[in-house]
Amino acid sequence: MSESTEKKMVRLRSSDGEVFEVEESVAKVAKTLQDMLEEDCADAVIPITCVRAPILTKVIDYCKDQVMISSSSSTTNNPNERTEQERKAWGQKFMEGVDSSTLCELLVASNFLNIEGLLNLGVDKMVSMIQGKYPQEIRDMFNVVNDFTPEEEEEIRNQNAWAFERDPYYKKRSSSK
Amino acid sequence: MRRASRVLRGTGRFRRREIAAAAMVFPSVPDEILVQILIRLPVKSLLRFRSVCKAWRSLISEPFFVDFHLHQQSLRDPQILLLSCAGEVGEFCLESLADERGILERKLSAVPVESILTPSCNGLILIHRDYSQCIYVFNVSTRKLLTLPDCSPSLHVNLGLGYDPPVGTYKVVRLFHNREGDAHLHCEIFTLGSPEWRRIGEVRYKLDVRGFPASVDGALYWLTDYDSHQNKSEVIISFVLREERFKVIPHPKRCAGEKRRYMQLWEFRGDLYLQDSSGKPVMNLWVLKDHKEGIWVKNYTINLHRCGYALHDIPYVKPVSICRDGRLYFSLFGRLFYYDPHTETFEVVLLDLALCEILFPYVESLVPLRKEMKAFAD
Repeated sequence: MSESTEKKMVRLRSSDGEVFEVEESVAKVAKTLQDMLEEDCADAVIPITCVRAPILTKVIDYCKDQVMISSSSSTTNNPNERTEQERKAWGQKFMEGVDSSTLCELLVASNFLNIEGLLNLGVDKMVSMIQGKYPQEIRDMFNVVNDFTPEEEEEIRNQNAWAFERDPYYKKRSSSK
Repeated sequence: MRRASRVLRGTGRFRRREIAAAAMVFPSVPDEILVQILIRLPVKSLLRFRSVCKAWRSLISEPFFVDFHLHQQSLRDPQILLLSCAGEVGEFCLESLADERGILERKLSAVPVESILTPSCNGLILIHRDYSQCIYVFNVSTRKLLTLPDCSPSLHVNLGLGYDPPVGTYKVVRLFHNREGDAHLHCEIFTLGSPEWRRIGEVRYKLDVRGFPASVDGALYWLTDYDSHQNKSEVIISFVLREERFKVIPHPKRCAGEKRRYMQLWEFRGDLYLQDSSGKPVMNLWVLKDHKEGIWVKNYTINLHRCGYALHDIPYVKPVSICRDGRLYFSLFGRLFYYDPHTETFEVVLLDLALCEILFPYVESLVPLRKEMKAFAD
């Protein structure tokens, strides 16, 4: 078997120990992996220490798609080439049904692996998810603890009362326990 | 493995101290990503999210955050501010045309009638109660209003708001006559955060003060008045906020003579535009490409004949806003049009603007109106 005709494969290990085998071109969509592979400092199996298997699966899906688009982009009339609108629609579809905790993990993964396109998709998705939300929804979504006293919270809300409209989640707390 | 910490598209100017300010905010998402998410949100959401927790509140108030947010918002298609009499009797109503074409959202508080409003500078506008010495600065997005100290008792002529980016100061520039019959034009300045107005003396150019000066990148721009200004080769006058000095800048060579009567200056997407007409029912827009060399490029030639207008309608056409992809909004006789330069097609977006006093683009902005506004210098 001659090595040159075979596509070079790269193995990635997720934080929970699952090993994925992907083509080198797919792995190289991630700038972090590209640097490692080009500097030849990649181990036989590259540990992706902060990314769980289900998230890595999604990341690899994204990278495969990027390779598919760019593979024939040198030729004119590339059937895979997308218009701005199609790209937008594809991005929305790719992010469809992703919940907030998965999205957080995807953001961490794409930042760690340095995949700008995926990071941007994630950021846009997060923006659309939280845009119209009320403070309590944000706290629930991201496990943030409300560390204001009732008086402080009310004061901040009063500074821009118009922005809260009728907040269904807000009940005036009393300061005495 | 090296950690790939990169800031995504846009500015890459995070510093350690700034990151520390954002730390602990969003335990599951790296801080630089959190900032990238939040700067894409409208001001209304951010004002709400100030009450999520203390860390979010301080992050959203940080000068670097306000700056990043403004920069990010200015990359989007601008929203259009409409001022109309649609509100209660005796009040104007500010409305805004959102990103999506044709969606009109009433979102702003009422401002007093008989007010003059200037175009927005970083989301701030000036409101001047007519015939009074009272001038306000208004942040359209946060709805905060700052009352300036009274300006000098004099005959008001013109008003403009400018921003000096490296220093981070906002300056209100006011032109006036000392009294009725005073032929000389004088200038006074109010630097936001300072205690009082400063007179900087007489303006030796006769300026066209029908509209407002265009506020672009640390300077205000006026045209000279075609009839009264003696030296016809002096067409565009700049006022650099740092130097506080009026001076002539080059104009497009072919914009001269009678044509000048229909000329106007505008600011769109951070560039200075010159509107002119070439004696046909055509609106031209020139953009100043190079301030140093004075290079103007004509980038719009819009044939208004194609949407049913004639030469005598030209003085009434007004460009309103330019989108990222080059498409342009303009108003003419109470209608708002949307023009696509790629296909040279027109579309009427709003039909009945008869009651509209102003139509200006503006960006979402968190810029605070407190006394010390120099925090941005950092």
